Amino acid sequence: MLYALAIKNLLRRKSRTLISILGIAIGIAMIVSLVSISEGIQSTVQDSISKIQGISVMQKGAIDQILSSVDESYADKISQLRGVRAVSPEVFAMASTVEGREIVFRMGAGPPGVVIGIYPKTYEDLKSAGYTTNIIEGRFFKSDSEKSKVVIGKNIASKYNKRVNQRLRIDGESFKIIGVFESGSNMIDNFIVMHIDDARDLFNLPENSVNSFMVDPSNPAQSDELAKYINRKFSKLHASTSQEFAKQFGETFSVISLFTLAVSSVAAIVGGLGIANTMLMSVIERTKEIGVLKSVGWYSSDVLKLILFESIMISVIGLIVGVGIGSFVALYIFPTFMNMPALINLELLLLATGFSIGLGLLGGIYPAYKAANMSPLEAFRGGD
Amino acid sequence: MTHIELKNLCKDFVLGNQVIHALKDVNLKIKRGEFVSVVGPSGSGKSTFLNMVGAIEKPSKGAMIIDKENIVDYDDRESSDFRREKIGFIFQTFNLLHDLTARENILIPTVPDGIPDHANKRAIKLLEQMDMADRASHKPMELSGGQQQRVAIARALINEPEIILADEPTGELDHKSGNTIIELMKKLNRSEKVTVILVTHDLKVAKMADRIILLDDGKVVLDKPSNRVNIKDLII
Repeated sequence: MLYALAIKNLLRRKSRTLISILGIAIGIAMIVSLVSISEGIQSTVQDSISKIQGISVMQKGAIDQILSSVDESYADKISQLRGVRAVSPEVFAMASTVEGREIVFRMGAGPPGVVIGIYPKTYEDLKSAGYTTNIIEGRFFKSDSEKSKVVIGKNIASKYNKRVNQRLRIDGESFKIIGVFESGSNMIDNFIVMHIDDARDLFNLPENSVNSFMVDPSNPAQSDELAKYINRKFSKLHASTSQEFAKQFGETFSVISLFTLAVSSVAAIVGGLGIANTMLMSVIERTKEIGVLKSVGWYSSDVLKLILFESIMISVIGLIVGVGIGSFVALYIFPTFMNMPALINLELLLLATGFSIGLGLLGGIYPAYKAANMSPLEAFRGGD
Repeated sequence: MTHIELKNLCKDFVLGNQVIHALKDVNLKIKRGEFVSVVGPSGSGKSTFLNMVGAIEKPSKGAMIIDKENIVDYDDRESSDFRREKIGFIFQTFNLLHDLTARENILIPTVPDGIPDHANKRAIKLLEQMDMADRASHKPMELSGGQQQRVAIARALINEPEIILADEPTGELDHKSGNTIIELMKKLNRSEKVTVILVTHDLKVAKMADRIILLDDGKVVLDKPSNRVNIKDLII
């Protein structure tokens, strides 16, 4: 009956209970959705990066190619190093429109927007160059003289319903599609590859600067050693194998994930304060009732259990609603708009459960303690 | 046979800088199965007296021997056990839980013991005794004042207590319902051999007891069998 009484108590003030449940639910929904989205982005991007073969060389301190800027003259210096087979300079830029449609930046995936400018001949020299190894339609660039042409990822082809020999308009300029590639990565399949001069013209990029270099080692088994060697030789550059880069990205993104978790946790803690407030109000309102329970022989521990059970009920219902909302956002809304999966794993669900029940306990502990220590004398005070 | 014995019982309250002596050296013996009325003006110490016997409050001084045990020495848990096993409280305002049915309200004191089967059976029997069998599933708001008080009496009796402590049980009832409740308590007192201590303002109600104790300013000023007390003796 203790538990039945607790449920009836919660139903007695339906709107207040509902608001408390919502408080927890919103916090938990934020934790589930933001963390799973963040995990999804991290996993997708890491997976994509790891598919790129070779060594990527960027400006030291830059977290990705878009934010990196290095002098193109490093290409010759790197290519002279022992163990280097080929070096391909690359520029990266975000297109504003493709086929007249505005591109919204979407964390490395989703509708197309990333343009890579290369020297076709040099790029072709890369044995293990990552993006375009698998041409599924048409061909890759044959020479450095091929301009105003693009090789597009298969996502671009399907998104804009384009085939080889058709034209693709990027930021108002028209390019002939000569090939379609499939990389196996959802992110990379949104790339558009063009001649570096076309990219510089199109995006007004400086002549002697590139975002990064793709380096092909003579012996792929010695990629790690070569990357370390480049780092030792050039203090302003940072070379990393794709695996290492993926790891670094993961570490950087973990900080973002942690921040996301912290922000959503604050929301959940506010929800926990809501429980504390609700339970405290409830205990104050039920002073006489608690006095009656104690006067008829209830132990203080029974009263403690009653109030704690009520607050945990709020947190458990909030958890269920929150996980439901968070999962819906992460699994249906986010992938629909961002074309990227979110990752909900058991660990995240356990975290949300622990957090929610912890908040229920913490929110209920003071009101429960206060109730348990009430005097049975309260039952004898006048009025209801 | 003495059931309850109060020895030099004192209770002081501190109100600001003032010390209020609610009970002053009260010495009393109440026999098992006695029906005692406690009367007196407001502030005479009646409720404090009742709370002491019910282990709700501890005295400042003195001893309270019930069944040969000094309940003053009880800790919080022992006091709860004592109240649940030996005492049945009846309140002026019934103090039923509005969300529970009559039957559930009666069972409330048995929750710490896990509501044993025999308690369920006894609750039904008590409802029948109170002529409330057809109201078992009704919530307090669906019952009259007299019916609510009968449910409260059944709740007080659920654990087969040795002592019933009633604090102005007729205070919220009309004359007829009040008399019915007192008659019911007298009947229970006789049939179940329960010791009843009834605190009341109503001197006619008080006269229905076997014995009347008059308190004034924290002291016992009259203690006689009710048939030897005139109502005017009780007016202070």
